[in-house]
Amino acid sequence: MNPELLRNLWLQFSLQRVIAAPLILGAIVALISFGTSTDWSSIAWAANGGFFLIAYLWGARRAVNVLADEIASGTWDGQRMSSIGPWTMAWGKIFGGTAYTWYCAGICLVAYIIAEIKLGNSNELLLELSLQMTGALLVQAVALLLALVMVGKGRRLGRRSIAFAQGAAVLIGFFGVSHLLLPSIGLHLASGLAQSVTWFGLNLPFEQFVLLTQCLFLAWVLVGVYRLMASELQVPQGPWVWTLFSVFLIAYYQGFAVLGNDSGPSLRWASALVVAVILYYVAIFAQSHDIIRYRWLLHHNRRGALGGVWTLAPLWAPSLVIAVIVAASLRYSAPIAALAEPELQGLLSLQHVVDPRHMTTALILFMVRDLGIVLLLNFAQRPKAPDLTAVLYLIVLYGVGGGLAIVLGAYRLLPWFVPGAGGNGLLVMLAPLIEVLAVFALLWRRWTAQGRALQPQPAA
Amino acid sequence: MIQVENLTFDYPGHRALSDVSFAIQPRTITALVGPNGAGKTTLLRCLAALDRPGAGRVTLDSIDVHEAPRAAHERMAFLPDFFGVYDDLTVRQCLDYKARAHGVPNDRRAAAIGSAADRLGIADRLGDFAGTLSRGLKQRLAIAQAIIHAPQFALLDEPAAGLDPEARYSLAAVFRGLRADGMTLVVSSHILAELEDYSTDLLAIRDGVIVDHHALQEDARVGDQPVPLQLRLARTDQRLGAMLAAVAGVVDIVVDGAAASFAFAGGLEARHALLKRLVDEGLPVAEFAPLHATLQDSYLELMRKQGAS
Repeated sequence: MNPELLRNLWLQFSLQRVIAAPLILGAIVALISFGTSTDWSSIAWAANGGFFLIAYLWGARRAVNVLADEIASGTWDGQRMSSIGPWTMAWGKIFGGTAYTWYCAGICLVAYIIAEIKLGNSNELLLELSLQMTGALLVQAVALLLALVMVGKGRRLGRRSIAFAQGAAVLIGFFGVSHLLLPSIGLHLASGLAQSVTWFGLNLPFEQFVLLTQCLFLAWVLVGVYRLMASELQVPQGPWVWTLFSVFLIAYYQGFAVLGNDSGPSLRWASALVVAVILYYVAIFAQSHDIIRYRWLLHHNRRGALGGVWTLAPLWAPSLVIAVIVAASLRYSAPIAALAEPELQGLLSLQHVVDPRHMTTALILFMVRDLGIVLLLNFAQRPKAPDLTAVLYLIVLYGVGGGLAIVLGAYRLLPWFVPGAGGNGLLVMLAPLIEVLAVFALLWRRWTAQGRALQPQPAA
Repeated sequence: MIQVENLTFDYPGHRALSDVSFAIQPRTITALVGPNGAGKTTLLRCLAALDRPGAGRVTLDSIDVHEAPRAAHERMAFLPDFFGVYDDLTVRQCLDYKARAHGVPNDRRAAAIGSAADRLGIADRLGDFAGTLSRGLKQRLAIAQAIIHAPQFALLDEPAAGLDPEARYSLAAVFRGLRADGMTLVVSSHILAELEDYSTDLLAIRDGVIVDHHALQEDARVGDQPVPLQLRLARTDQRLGAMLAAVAGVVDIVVDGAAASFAFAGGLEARHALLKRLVDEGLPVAEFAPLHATLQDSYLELMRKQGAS
């Protein structure tokens, strides 16, 4: 038996807890039952709500705490020193850490099933239960994934980090995959009647498509948990899984009917670019950027040790390559007419948008500039909340700077703040290029200042 | 044997280990000493494959610990300075979990638990919850957990911190016992007197650089290295210096009244012959023993020299 799972079962399933859960939850169901004269729909509603509270909210917290508790109590190093492999550790923690919440949630599900059968809604029950269970599992897995990301970034997983991971997991897992990640939800909500989703030409019932999506994302999150756990256990990792996930996500969004089967290639490339850009920023903020890692990356590169380079390669590198490829495809391979459509140009004041072809180049330059800002803050001798500071700077640059230029009517300044805006094609590309050069000059200065005392010794 | 080659480890703005190389012989207890911030904990964590160095290699019996950390962990144990135990599990469950986590086969698990508990003197506490144990017993449990898989090599970071003198004494006996059973230990501690009780080797580190590595105890010396000896007579005898100088292998003679110190290259039989000769020639020998500088003396002298240089 998985030792990590067994240990969690020992910790969570005391006799008192095993007996208490059905008694308490049974008493609540009995109260609702007597209070509503056995109104099965009220019981179903309460059981469903109980499942959500226990499996989603409590489960997500337990999934974070299963790691946070180890770190707080000083047992994490002991686990890292064990012979337990990354996959065994990963699933032992996900299922072991949340075992008791599943025990309690299972009681709610039993009450829900009975109520739904009594109400005569047994046809869709299996699909509904599958949706609920994969959704809850997804939330829990995302919570553990975020906890591992934070540990990888050197966080101690205090109360605030735990609450953040839990909240973000619930948002991403529940609202994200189930609803927000599906562009068709717009149609679904707008009409209130849309019952199906067209994806790569396949017309699937909405709930079935949500289930498929949840299963796909759950698989990716589990792979992500495995990779991060392997990293914690000092098993060398390269960013190839992230690269594959990026390709998957771009492909996933290409499948939606919202683009239309007859959509022009430019609109498809544009949607791919949006996903690639988002993934690039996720990659930047999901990883630690201590200067030592980059120093050794360059050191291995100089020695031609490609294995070392690949192991230390940051996630943003493949993301940037993908974004450049997609942007270049949009820039050169496809007609740009679709980008000039009023709906898209309506995002900005029409007269201040230049040829969208320049926009792709400017966008890539802005992305590189933003990376430089993040690295600059992380490479400080004593970095203090560098990622948060970087986010603040970017909000100021894009939001406040761009907003001010528009409000003050200083449209000529827009190329310095908003990719592709401003009206002058040359300036649209020149402005971010100058910013890139300025940021990287500062970065080089900081790099050399820190590096003088830390020239790596050649390995034997 | 554990071999460390050109190990370098950096923190932002600070090099914690700089081109560190050394080898640790099997069945030794190496005292890892150095001032605060010298790099002791970083070195132990690199040896344990918990932190990955920027350059260099650590091999444990030809296994590169950073290339194959899981294989290395099967052969080693590590007790960090801030260790924890699972307070809500019993001592038996704690040991059972660690045995499973280290891949001890089912048919050998009960024996491994019994053996580790016996060795650490907690066999009578197997049914107690770990959270109810005293600090000293928790320390013993943590060590028992670490060695449950009978590793060849154990790394212990400040294992005696917070223990009372009695617990420290018994811990020293545990370490000697582990060594006698064939284990190799590296123990980092600030309490030099305690290290002296059981260490065979000294590894001193300062500012991320190894400044000294030598054998401490006589039984760990190799070859015919001269051993410092001291001799005391019951009363002063003017012949003492001349008689010592006449013996082959005796060097560095210092006579101070009825006492003398010198270095003698030779094993126990040669030492016996030397003593017999001195007694036969009528010297009133009252004491004849190896001359030990305390570990603390050696360490302070070493750090003083390093500081001066």
